[in-house]
Amino acid sequence: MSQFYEIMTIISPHESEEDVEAIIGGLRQQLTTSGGDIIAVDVWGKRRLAYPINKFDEGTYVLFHAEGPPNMVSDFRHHTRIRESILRELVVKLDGPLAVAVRAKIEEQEPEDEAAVEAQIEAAEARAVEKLAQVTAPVTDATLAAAAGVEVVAATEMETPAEETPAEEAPAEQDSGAEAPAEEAPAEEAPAEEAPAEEAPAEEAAAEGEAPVEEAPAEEDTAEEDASAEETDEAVKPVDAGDAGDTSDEEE
Amino acid sequence: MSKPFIRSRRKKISKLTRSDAEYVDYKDVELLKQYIDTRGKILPRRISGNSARHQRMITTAIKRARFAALLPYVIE
Repeated sequence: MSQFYEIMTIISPHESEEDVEAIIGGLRQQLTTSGGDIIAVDVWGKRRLAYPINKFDEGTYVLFHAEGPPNMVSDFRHHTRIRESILRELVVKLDGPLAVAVRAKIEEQEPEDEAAVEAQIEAAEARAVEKLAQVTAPVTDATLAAAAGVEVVAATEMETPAEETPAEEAPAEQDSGAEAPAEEAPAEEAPAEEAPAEEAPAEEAAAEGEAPVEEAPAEEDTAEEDASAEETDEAVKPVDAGDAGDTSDEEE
Repeated sequence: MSKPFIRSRRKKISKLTRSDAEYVDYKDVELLKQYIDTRGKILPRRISGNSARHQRMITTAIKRARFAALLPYVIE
């Protein structure tokens, strides 16, 4: 029943190293809560993207190898789709002799230092707790402001985005142990809170976006004529169309 | 229109077909780069010299690599 999967995710370059760790911890937890068994996690680190995704030119690649029931994949996709900090996720099912070969290779490469892995999980959880502390503080402030009755509107506006995300998460993850979801929730609030912060630079990037676009053809002018300048805009579109097609392929 | 000339080029056999690969990994960017042209398009079998099976494996691998932003969809 259970299948062997290779999962590649790209995390936004925006996240600090600690946040990346927390996100990886969250993904691990997500996989295990839906009955998966993580065989290996390989963090490639920051890498240039072949084309910009959400205006980002680079991203942190993380590769998982995991074994689990098919619903693990759908749960995982759901989890990653919600999160803005995860730019891409690609799940490939490895079966038959291929699974055996890949597994053998992994074992050969890293005689899985489980201590390190556990340390990583603990670190992620610790971060989650820290986040909880950070998150509760502003929320209570907002509530106090609301009680004061002066800036009621502003306060409610602040509260809603922060609380919405955990509310959505909660049902999905409560299946597992009692403590796990409680600890996980704060980790997920983080992206929700950071969302507004992310938007701002993204827009900046949009504003600046034109400059690099024009530069690119200039370098390759020898090969292409002016036409390429117009084509760069079009070039971005097929990416989205391709996404949909490709992803559904992998699900089979 | 008459045929301009008879092709005499020897058929190129792809490295993959010669080594009889069992799987093409989408993460192997250096390998996949050999099967795209300067525009980023996948080379046809006629040019790459792949067997049908290997061409299929290369194609899926390239498409996966593109999705993962390891390879571009287009090179301008």
